[in-house]
Amino acid sequence: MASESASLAVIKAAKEGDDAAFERLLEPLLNQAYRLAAGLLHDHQAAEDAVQDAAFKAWRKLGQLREGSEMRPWFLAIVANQCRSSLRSRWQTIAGLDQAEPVSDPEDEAVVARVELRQALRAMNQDKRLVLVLHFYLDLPVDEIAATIGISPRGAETRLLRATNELKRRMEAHRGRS
Amino acid sequence: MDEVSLRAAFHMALDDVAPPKPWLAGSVLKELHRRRTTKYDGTRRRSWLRFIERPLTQRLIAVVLVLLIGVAAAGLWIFTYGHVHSTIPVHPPVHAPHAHLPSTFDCAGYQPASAAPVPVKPVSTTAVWGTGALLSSDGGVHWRDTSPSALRQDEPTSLPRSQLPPGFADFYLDANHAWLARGVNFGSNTSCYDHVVLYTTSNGGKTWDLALPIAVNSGGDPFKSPAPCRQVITFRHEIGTVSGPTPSPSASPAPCPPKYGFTIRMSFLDGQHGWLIVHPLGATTTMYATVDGGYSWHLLAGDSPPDCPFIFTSTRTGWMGSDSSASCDLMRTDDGGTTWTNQQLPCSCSVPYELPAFLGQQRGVLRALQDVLYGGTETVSYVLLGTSDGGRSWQLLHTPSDAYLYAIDYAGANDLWVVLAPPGWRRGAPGPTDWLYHSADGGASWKLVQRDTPIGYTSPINAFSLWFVDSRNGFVVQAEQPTGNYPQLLVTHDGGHTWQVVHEQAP
Repeated sequence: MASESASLAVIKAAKEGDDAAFERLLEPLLNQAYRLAAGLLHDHQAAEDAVQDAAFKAWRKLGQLREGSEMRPWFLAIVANQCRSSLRSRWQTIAGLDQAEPVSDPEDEAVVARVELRQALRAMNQDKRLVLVLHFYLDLPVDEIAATIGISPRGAETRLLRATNELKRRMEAHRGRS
Repeated sequence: MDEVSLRAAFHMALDDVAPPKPWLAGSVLKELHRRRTTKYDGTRRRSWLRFIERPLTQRLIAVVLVLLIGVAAAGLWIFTYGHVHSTIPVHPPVHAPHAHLPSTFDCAGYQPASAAPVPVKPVSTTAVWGTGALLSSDGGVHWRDTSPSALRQDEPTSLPRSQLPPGFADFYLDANHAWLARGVNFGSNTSCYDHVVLYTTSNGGKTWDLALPIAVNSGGDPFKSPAPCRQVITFRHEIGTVSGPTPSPSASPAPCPPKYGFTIRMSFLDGQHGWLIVHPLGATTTMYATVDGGYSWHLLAGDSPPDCPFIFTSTRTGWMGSDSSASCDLMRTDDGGTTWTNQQLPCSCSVPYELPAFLGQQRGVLRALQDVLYGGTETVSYVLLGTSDGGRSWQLLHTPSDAYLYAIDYAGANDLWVVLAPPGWRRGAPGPTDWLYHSADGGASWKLVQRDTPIGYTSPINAFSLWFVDSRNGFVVQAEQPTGNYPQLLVTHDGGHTWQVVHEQAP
């Protein structure tokens, strides 16, 4: 309870213009934000840029964070949207995502498996990619995924199940072709 | 692959593209601080400084360009909205006396209306007007009553809401413009109704304005005591009058005599020009015209026209079909409704409740009723007439077959649809499954769209209306097959190939 009150107090201070309070809220989330962006964009430099832009947007739009809401799902949603914009506007990234990834060592099954998974992810739409990265890479529980995406927990479960099944099918199909 | 394995695979796969960056937080916060201070402090000043430091010529050119754009925008706004506003007449509000309903059997009272909304004018694929100023915005499923409360100011509280006022008539031009008319008694002690009042809207029923009442004598005695009689219920719709069960002559009490009131017909050419016929029971009709959207009306001198449906295709040229009990030809006026003359038709035809549909300035079509020999039996059937000279002369048009032609509608200059009975159908045979034909060249040639459609006539209520909003979207209002319940609304979105029943929800 004490930590919740402290957190709410920091959010309140940040909303009132206390930049230091905002930075205290943001700093613990940046590493996760970076991993989310990297999982969506598959480009660590682009991911860093996306997190940077998202941080600035979060600072400008902090007033929109609803009373009593957690900072993490709200900020991760901004990061996901920033990645979406980034994908639309950066043609190099789009071209890169569409191309097959070269396998450095085709004999190494572990390497092949990692490439297969990344390629299968890239072939999926952004909504499904997002829910998979939030769950399997950021290890977020379903209710926090729901809060990030802005749907109900049941909806998030359904979307996660469908996305997982599709991912598995794509990976099997890729294995079958190769 | 189970959850644990998949999670491990994700970590391994994505860690490859997300190498750890322990400096990330510091870098992001530092950049955030820079953006915060630069953007909202220095950048703006630098923008202003950059402008001021430019050569004078460049600054003057920039200012002149901005001023020119502003002037052009203002001029465009004035032309668009100032022009429109200058042609919309502004009328002072009308304050009419309170109407009271004569409560005698001698005077026509409120009329029973259909319990379900009766669509009368689709104006788009989703917006449909229904009798009584009902309006649907979803193709006829949900309806709301837009009529002004003043329309029913004298309604007895004992009556259900769906009743229509005495002499009620309505006309819907488009999604915004509509007119409602009714008879009222403002205090006369010598006639049942002494005025016609109209309500007009130009915003789709959001607001209604009261027009200047028209003085009319309906006849009858508003103070006559009621006498026992049996009421025979009738109501009018587009193609005729539908009656309830015919009472046997020996039944008592005797059927009530017709009640005094008047029938009103309206038609508008556009938002400003309209015509109105008032026909008191047992008296001659009078025709009025308006040029200000119905706010005021002037009596047209000349012979009394018959009480028939009519339309105007210009401010001077109008058409009138005959009453079903008469055997008149088509009638035409070229002086704005003052005089009407019979038109010659190329057949022994009548045009009961029919009006021509003009597909442009010169080409038009008209459905006419002709005596025919069909399957060895004398009967009547509709035929199709066409004109290519603005209605000065008419010719019989070829129809897809010689089968009984039920209905015709058009959308645009070339698209026509006709509904025909299937070949071999005998008049009086049960349950039609009619055929729909389409012409894309104004009736010169026809193509079968669909046979055995769920649209068409059914007894005992021979009510059928067909409207196409465009080449793909159309509506039918008919009596339900086979129950005969009226109305039933159907819609097509594929040019008539398939039809779906719209389940209307009454307001």
